[in-house]
Amino acid sequence: MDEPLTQEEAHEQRLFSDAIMRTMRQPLIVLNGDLRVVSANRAFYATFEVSEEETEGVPIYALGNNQWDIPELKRLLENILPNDNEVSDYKVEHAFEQIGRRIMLLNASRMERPDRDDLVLLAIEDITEREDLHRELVGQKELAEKIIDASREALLILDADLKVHAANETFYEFFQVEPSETEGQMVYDLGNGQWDIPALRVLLHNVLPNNNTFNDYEVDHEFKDIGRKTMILNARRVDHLQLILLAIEDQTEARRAAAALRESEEKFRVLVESTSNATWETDPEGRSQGSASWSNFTGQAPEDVRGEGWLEAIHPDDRNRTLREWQQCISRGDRFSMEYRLWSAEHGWRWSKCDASPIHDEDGRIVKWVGMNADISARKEAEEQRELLLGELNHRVKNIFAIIRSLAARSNGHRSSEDFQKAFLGRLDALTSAHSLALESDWRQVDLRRLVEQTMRPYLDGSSESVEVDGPALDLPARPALSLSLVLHELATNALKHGALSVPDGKVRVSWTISETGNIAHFTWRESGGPSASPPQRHGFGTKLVDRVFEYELGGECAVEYRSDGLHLDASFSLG
Amino acid sequence: MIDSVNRRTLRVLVVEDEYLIALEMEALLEELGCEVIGPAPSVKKALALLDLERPGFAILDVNLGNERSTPVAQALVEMNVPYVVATGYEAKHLPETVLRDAPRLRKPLTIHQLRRVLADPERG
Repeated sequence: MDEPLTQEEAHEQRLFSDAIMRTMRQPLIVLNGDLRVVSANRAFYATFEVSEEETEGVPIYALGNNQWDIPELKRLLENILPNDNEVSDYKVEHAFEQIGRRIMLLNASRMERPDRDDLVLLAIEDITEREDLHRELVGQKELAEKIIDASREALLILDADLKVHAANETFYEFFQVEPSETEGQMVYDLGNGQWDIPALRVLLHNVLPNNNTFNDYEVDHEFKDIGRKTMILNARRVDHLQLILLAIEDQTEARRAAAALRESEEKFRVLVESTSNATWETDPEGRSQGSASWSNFTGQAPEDVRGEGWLEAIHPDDRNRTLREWQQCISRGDRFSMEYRLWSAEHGWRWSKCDASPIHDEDGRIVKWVGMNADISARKEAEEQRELLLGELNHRVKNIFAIIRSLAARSNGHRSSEDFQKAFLGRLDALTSAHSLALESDWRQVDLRRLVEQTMRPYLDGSSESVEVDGPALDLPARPALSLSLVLHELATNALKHGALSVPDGKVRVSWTISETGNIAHFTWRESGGPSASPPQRHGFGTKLVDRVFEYELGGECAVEYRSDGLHLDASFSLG
Repeated sequence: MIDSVNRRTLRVLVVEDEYLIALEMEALLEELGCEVIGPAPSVKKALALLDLERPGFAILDVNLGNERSTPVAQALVEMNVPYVVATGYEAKHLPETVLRDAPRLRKPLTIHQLRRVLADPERG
């Protein structure tokens, strides 16, 4: 039992408790038995924005226009406290009219007084801000966790000792591991040591402790289970939490795609460059933006190519149709393809095939045109050559028929059809063999010696000594060679019938020389050892042919002498 | 107008650079009772022959080696001599009107073609 206090002691006690009440930063309120306010401290007045006058003596529930009529408070004071005397950390949440929503922790103590009613000491702790902070913290934590989980980057949260604190879904999916075999594991031990990546060790041990972050560190690593991966690592040291956040971005596909794209671009670039002289681009309206390769090919200055300046490099005869076609393609959005002559700084006019296509954006609008020029001069020349050859062939076929017709008609007048056949076929054979010789050189020239030998061959059989051929190499144009073969044939036939070849000892010498100046050829046919020659009675086809072919087709002249020792022919013609 | 073949022998200038063809034309024309002037293988030779006489008619090959018979055709026009152009493939697109607008004979020539053209030289 306590000793009863002296008056003095009681006063001192009273002063002491008043001082405590006044200096407490926590709102305190003292209520009497019927729950009216006996007193309150300064912290109470300040916190709840009320004055001493409107507080003391007022029932607690009526404080501040009945704002304190709080059901929870009523329960504490009227139900709990009468039984317990002491109540701690009783949480009350209430929206005050003046100061808004408050969360309070109430500590209440009932003081029993002998002979007088009890006093209730109510300490009010305003934990509104603390609670708000807490809620915000909880919210932030949830947000962070959701962000981590929703992230499409694999995230690892490591303890300070590099054990896995947590990982997100992306991580588990990407590396095909389970949370159970991941959390709490040393990072290097993950997946049977697959994560023991030297570069990662360097980063976590050397870089991160000094810098507290590392950014965009690329690591290439061969994982046993998922193969080779290219990863971009980003790390943050969260010092307050003693955690390390490691973000792993998988770049494998992107790198592969980029490499594939580069390769594909390179492939097309090489293809285009190997088949084209120039590549270029224009705006959607077809105006050139200049092109280095075009300038390089045409010699046009880059600024001269711009707009429609490129037209200047196109042959004047092709310019209008090119521009017309180009404008039509631009307005229709069609592919452009045409052939025109393009000036080459190096080779002059060249045939060029130009191809261009529009490039569309996602909405189908033309954003630009790209085009290239390829040199097709060789093809054009080949086409022209073919055209020429075809025409030439056509011409030759017609001529040859005309000639055969002529031979047939002129071989007439023989007594019997047998003679006719012999004469006609002989001429035809001579023509045929000369034709073969001409074809050997693509109808360009015929070697005179081969022509003579081949035409004379039918008359050399068994008596090759009777014909002598002598002369230097000499090329005749193809057409005169054909006619000359007929002349040789006529002379040989005549010699066989009436001349040197009609007797065993007769001889024919065919020879030619070229003048010292090199531009005149002399051709001779000399018969000897045979019967005396005499001029023909009528001027038939053969005679006309022999007389005039040198003049007609070689621009030369020819003289035939019918001498007692045989026929002599002397011809001369210019070469080249 | 050509003088009638019956009344007087028609003299025909033949310009053709290929001798065998020229010989055949000569033979055909002779068969039809004409006399041939030439044949001439070149423009130069043909013009030289025209200096000597005015033919009653002319048959021109288009290509004579490396030249065309255009100057001969012009001379014939000036001399008011009717002529036909004997064409092969090469005469499809003739730039010179004196050749392009003249009556044409397709090669190889036949005696029927020649007979027809001599009867009515304007038609070709």
